[in-house]
Amino acid sequence: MRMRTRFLAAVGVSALVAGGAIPALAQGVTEQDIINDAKTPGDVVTYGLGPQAQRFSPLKTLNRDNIKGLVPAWSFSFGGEKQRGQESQALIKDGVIYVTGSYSRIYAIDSRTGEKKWEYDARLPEGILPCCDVVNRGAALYKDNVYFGTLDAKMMALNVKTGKVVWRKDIDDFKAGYSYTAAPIIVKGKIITGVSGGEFGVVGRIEARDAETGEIVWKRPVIEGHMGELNGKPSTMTGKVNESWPGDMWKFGGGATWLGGTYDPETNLVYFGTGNPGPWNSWLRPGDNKWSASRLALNPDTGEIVWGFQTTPHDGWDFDGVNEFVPFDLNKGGKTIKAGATADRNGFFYVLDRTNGKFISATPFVDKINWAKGIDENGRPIYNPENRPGDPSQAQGDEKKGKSVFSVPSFLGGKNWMPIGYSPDTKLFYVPSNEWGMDIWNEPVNYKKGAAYLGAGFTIKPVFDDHIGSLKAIDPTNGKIVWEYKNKAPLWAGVLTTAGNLVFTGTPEGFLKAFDAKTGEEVWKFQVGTGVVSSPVTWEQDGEQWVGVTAGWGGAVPLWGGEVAKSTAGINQGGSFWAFKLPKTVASR
Amino acid sequence: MRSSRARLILAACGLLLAARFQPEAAARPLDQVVADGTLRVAVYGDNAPFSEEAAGKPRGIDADLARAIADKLKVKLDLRVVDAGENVDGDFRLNLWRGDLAGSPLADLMLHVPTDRQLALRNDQVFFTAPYFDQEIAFAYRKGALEGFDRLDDIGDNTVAVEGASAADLMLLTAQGGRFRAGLKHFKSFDEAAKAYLAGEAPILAGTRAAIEAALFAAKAPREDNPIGTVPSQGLVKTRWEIGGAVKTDSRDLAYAVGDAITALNADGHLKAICETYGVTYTPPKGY
Repeated sequence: MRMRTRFLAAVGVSALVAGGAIPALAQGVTEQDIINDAKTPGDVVTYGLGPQAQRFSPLKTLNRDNIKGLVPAWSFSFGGEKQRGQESQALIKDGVIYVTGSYSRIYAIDSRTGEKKWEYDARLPEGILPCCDVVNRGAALYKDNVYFGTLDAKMMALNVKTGKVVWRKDIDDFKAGYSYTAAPIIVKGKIITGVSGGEFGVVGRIEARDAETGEIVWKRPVIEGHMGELNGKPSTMTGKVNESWPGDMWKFGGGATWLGGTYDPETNLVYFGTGNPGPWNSWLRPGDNKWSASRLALNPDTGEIVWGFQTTPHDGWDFDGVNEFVPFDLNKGGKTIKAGATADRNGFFYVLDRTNGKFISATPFVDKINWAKGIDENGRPIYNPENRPGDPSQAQGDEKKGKSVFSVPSFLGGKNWMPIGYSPDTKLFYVPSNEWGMDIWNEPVNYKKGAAYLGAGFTIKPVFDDHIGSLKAIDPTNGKIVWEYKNKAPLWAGVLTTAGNLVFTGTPEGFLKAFDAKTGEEVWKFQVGTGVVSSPVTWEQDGEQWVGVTAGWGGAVPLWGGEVAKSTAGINQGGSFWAFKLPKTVASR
Repeated sequence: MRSSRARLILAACGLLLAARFQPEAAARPLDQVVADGTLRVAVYGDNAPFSEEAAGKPRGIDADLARAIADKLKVKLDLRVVDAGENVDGDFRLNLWRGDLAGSPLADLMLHVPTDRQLALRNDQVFFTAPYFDQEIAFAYRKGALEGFDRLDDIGDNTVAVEGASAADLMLLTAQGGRFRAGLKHFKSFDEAAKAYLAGEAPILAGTRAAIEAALFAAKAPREDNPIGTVPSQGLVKTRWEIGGAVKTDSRDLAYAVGDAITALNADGHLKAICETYGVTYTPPKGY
């Protein structure tokens, strides 16, 4: 029998507790609700507080002067005996919070009282091998369904009221190394997702399904040479065969789209980041290796690529540039440019024209970057050839390692998965970043499936003695860092900004913190009892402003040891959702 | 073994969520294995001719060897076919000492472990048994397409069918500054690469000698029409390595007992006979 494919016949049962009255006027989430989400503080129906994912709330009730009155209203435990990383951003609609948990679980909670309405635990097969913890980053809402993806690469639609399965579709075969951890997005009645997975043979793609039936509408592989699909028929090829890949290596080129995307209703484009190319050693695949480590803009109706921009051509450091692309209006030289920004794993903060992908600027957002000297006027890195891991074909005789190089940032990135935020009020981006580098070399004493294998050896090291984490406010007009908050442990949580001139984020040390959005002064913190590696949200309810965050230490950081582990030693796991509110009596003082 | 697994799963049904989060059954030393009367062995899936699942049943050299070892220890065999992780170090963690994130049970013994001192040194949670097989990278070629094969230059501009990211692939990708890259035809598995070679899509097939021999044997492809060649080791990628077993580090007595069983199976010709079933030439590790 085959252990790693056998299903545990344990759970998958939803506990339906019909607690609380369901508002009679609840209509489900409409397309208009999704597009207007950033302007409607009474609900949060999208990942990112709006399809552009600026993570900005127009709520002003809460500010630096009254935030001392922000108090916990309730806390909800995810239960279970295993916990690990909780990276989920909650959604709130009609008095119900929808939040996902580790191990592919989802909960519906009364947003006023914290009582559970229902819970759904996906049946996970034994032996799933997620590369980087058993996280889930959030759900999507549309009409009467709530959608989320599972670690065994399935997309689920559940009824919002009952938690019962409406449909369940395979994104791909988990046995072939596929998984799913991102929050899906809904665009014009379609649910649009990427894929997770780094095994040989996994080629990243973006795909759209009919949200009501789960049937595929289009597929877009992100690596050149692969054919797309539209309405069940082949559509167009991505790029051209062998334009930027040698031999047949494009067939297995990587580029996993594991972080999900954003959508800009103004330009009708969806934006996705693509991961690193394979194999890891860049010397084995000369060329730019398109479209790995890129941002792609797609037409959501057809899946056609409208533009692509590659942040790390010929990635040799596993920078895995999947990072989110956040649309915003850039005021430069008296003009307003429809722009977008992305803080790449490679340590540079890019501003692009979001209508055509044209390069506008790129500036470092972490210190001591050494893999590239900078980004040229066309947006290409100016490489430091001596800081590219060695060419294994040049290794001589007894040389047991390839040349080891110390490269900044480390492969976990100047910024990893944790989402950035943008405030149209301060006109600043808020970027949770990490200051770390890595020793990296060819490692010949490596085996896979019992056979010799050329792997990478690496050690991650902090760049500074006193901190790794660094929350930065960046002015997109000039790339200048306006303020910085330093944190001892690596930052792994998303940010939230508000019209009350506040920026929120969490720390592995267990604090949800608030900062003055203009100055970076820390104005509030609360200890949730375990690390925070999720994205906070805020909403208005019964005339009061609420803030919510998922708590539970985990993610990729604790999977790596060495110097970095010292900064997170002793942090306990957990699994809960915390809701805070500013009581009316305090707000009116 | 099937029935015991079925029981475990049935038991889990009643326990709902809690069942998924039961602590893993630990890997065990010899006395516990003997007392229990069952040896739990992990072998890889999709690793023919050593182990694979055919029609729902494990088969291959490692599967047969596991049974022979259990027989020598006078216990029943509980054979688990597991998918390979990112590297063997990870497989030790998943199968022998920590378990996976989904809580799959551990094994007492893992087979097909490269007997490499560096690998052993950096995995002090596990302990290696004596090796049982000597693996090497080899090439089959269609007679007539090449004059012979004893150095990589003999490949010339020919196409080579190879499993992507395998030892043979990495050796060819890195050899001579990458001069053979353009001619490589990559497949997701060795099985697909072998089928392509046999179908005439490429005049050369690269892989391990055992896998090549077994593929030719299974396809009844005459050896005289498909000679097998090897090349001297060069560059960073190993072309030759021994495989053995591994147990959890506190179960050394089990590793010694398994080692004794392997030595006996080598001496009495049993290992050779197992290999021959699959058309594979038994190549014992040096030292026998």
